[in-house]
Amino acid sequence: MNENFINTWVPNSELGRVLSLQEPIAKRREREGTTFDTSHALAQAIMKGWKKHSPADSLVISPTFELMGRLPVNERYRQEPVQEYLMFLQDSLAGELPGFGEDTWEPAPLNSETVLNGLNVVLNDVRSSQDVLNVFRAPGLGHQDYTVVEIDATAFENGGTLRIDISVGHAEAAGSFDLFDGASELPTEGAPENALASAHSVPPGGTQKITHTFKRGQHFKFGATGDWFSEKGSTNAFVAKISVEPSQKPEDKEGPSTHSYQSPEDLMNAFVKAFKNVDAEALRSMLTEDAKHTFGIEDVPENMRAQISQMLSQMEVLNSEYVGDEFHFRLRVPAGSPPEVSIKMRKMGDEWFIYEIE
Amino acid sequence: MKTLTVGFLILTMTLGQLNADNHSAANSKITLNLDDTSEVSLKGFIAPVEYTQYNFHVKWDALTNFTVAEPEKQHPTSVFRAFLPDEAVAVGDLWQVKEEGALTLLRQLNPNPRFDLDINNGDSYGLWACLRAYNDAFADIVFRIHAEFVLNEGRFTPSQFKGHLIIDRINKKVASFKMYVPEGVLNFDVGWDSLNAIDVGFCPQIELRTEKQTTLLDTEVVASITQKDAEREMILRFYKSEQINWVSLEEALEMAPAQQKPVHAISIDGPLADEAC
Repeated sequence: MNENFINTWVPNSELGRVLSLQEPIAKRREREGTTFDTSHALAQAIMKGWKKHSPADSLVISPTFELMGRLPVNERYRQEPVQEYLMFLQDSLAGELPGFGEDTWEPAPLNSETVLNGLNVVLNDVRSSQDVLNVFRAPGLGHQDYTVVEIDATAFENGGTLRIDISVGHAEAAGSFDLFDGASELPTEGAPENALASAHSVPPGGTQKITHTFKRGQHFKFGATGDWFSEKGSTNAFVAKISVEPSQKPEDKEGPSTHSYQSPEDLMNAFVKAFKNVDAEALRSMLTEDAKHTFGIEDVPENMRAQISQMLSQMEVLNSEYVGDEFHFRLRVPAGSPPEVSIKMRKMGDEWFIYEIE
Repeated sequence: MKTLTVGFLILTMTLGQLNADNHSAANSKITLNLDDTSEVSLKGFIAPVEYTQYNFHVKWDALTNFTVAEPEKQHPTSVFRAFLPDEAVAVGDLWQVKEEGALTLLRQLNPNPRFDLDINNGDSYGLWACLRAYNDAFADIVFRIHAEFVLNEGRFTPSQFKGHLIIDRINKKVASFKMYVPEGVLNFDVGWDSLNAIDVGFCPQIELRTEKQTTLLDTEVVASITQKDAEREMILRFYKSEQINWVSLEEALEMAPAQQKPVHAISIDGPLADEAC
């Protein structure tokens, strides 16, 4: 090795490969007045040679700093580790480019990247999914002690559906998870009433899903904490796969939000269907602009949606009638308060819209 | 205090310069003793963990509250005999530090030190010391120790404990002692048992040292090796991979085109040459 190579090793964290350490190391360097040059040809060649998700890569690089071979750590030490490593080195020197043709790690990763540590998630059209691995602690009955994941979904100008698939580790504590608007103050005690969506009391080893539809790009906070009934101070790990399914551009939209209703009956039927499906986005799309500002149709937490939808399955139209240029109908809403709802719609241009709900 | 510390640094430089003119005595063996009955006061420091990869230092109480057990403690001089060789040694010779004395000192940092590391590929264990320099009045012993602390629900494994023991050979007492975890981008590894998970991070200060350093400005050295050479001799006792001449990234950047040799590079999550991985 000493005769044939210049040998060097470098921590991934020095080169910025460990995303969660980028910020604290940068702060430390600033405080200490130190730098680590990653712009030179050798550092760039090493970074170019990284394999995705590999914790360690062996690389052979030419004297002019071109990659000649790569061997990720998890692809070695099989049966004859010494011989295999020697072969890797020999093949590299022979110009056979071992390890090439496979994926390379990108400093700005593409699609569905796994961030095993970060608490800041930035999603966009190119990178629409990230995984976060972290831990939470049980706060005791009536309290919250959130591990907060900041989610930046501002790149989705036309909104979309934020989906968080949660897996809880096998340690002691059960987990509760709440999604908040990015500007929200997260509660430290009491029920998280300002949560946009929640999944509570997910047991050790359990999985759960949160979805939230948003109309325009925005920031979110995703809070993970132990549930109220786990022993105070007990902990567990969680993995949250955070992704956004972007909305179509307005001119390309399909589905209820862009349906135009040429007849009041079509709109009534669509309204009833959306109501039963607890589809707030679809319901909002049926309102006039004024009505959108008058009536708050809130998203229902994912964990409550199925239950509510089941209750609403018995909902029925009590009557409907044309009133002048308008169309009115009444719904019976089981367990609703009030139990009956009156809906009024009118034609605007060629389309019908709902302008009043009471 | 500042003056004394500066004085010691100047001594180190002086030792090196004088040694350049005095190679003939380098192989002479000397006997090292500590017979003084007085006590040695050591100050202990553990700074708050600055960062970890998986935020364990925020979420795990044992790591959040990881502080020095005894900020100041008097130790009998005899404890430091653990760092002395049993036989006469020459500059550059290595010997093993005795466990019990090292444990006594480590307990000032944390009550539960151990040398059998939780993660050990067969090359982690070791307590090595080396005679770096001496003259008639003083001897400079450097050492490298691998140890970890058992915490509630886990362990804390520093990259290494390095340091020096300077002996007053005339009075056979401790002139200066320092044992610390060196800085690095990452300088410890932890295991959190209840999560069956590990993390790595950086702690700015884990250190035991005497408050006073002896002023050695007028001392003449008989023989010495550099700190770097002593450290290399010791690390070779741990890791076979250190038989490879590793150079820094910047050195490789210059050496490869100059020598027209390819670069063998390893990009790795944890340090290659210590236990913080």
